[in-house]
Amino acid sequence: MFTMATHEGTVTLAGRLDAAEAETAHAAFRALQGPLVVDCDRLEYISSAGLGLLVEAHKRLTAAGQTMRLVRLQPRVRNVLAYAGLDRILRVE
Amino acid sequence: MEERRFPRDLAAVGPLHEFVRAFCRARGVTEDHAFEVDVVAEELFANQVKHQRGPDPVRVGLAGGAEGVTVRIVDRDVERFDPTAVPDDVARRNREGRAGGRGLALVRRLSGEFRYDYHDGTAVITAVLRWSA
Repeated sequence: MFTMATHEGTVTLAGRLDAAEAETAHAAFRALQGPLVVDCDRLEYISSAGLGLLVEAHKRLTAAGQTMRLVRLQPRVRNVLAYAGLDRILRVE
Repeated sequence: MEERRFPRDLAAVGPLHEFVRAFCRARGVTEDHAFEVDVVAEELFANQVKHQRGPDPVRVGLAGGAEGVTVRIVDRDVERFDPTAVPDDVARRNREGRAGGRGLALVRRLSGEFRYDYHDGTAVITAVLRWSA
């Protein structure tokens, strides 16, 4: 199960962002506005489908002159970003 | 090898994760390593769902234990498509901000072996994850 909640410029991700959940979450990610903080403290799992949503949001917001920061990543999720080389592209804090 | 059949649908990723987690718990695989098996199994399964149109469910097999796990996908009556031969262009995709194309890169980073066999219309994709004790 995956959930996302937005409040005052912060979107909180929780649960498992896998290929099935990413399909459902796609529209919600496209509606995100910047500047944006993505709180990943409760994000337990991510695969390439979830990474794609983050990359897409980052590209869209950056093109609009906005920022997107990923914060409080669990080590396993942080590792997946690093394996995909995205720790050098996305702003991870 | 423990094997399950999953419908050729991304909605089956949830049940696939349950299969992986139950296998890893029963075999003493750590949570960190089970996470890696989860990612590899999902990426290989999703790759078949997206790129193949076979008539049967996709078979996913798991073997091994705390020192390493083998993930094997068997897909019958499908076209030849070798995922191990797909170029690793993830750096370019990242620079261009492209949404897709990172799944096989994750499989390569996490697996010590990544093999493809194709015979009489049946594809067998194998990834082996190994961890030092």
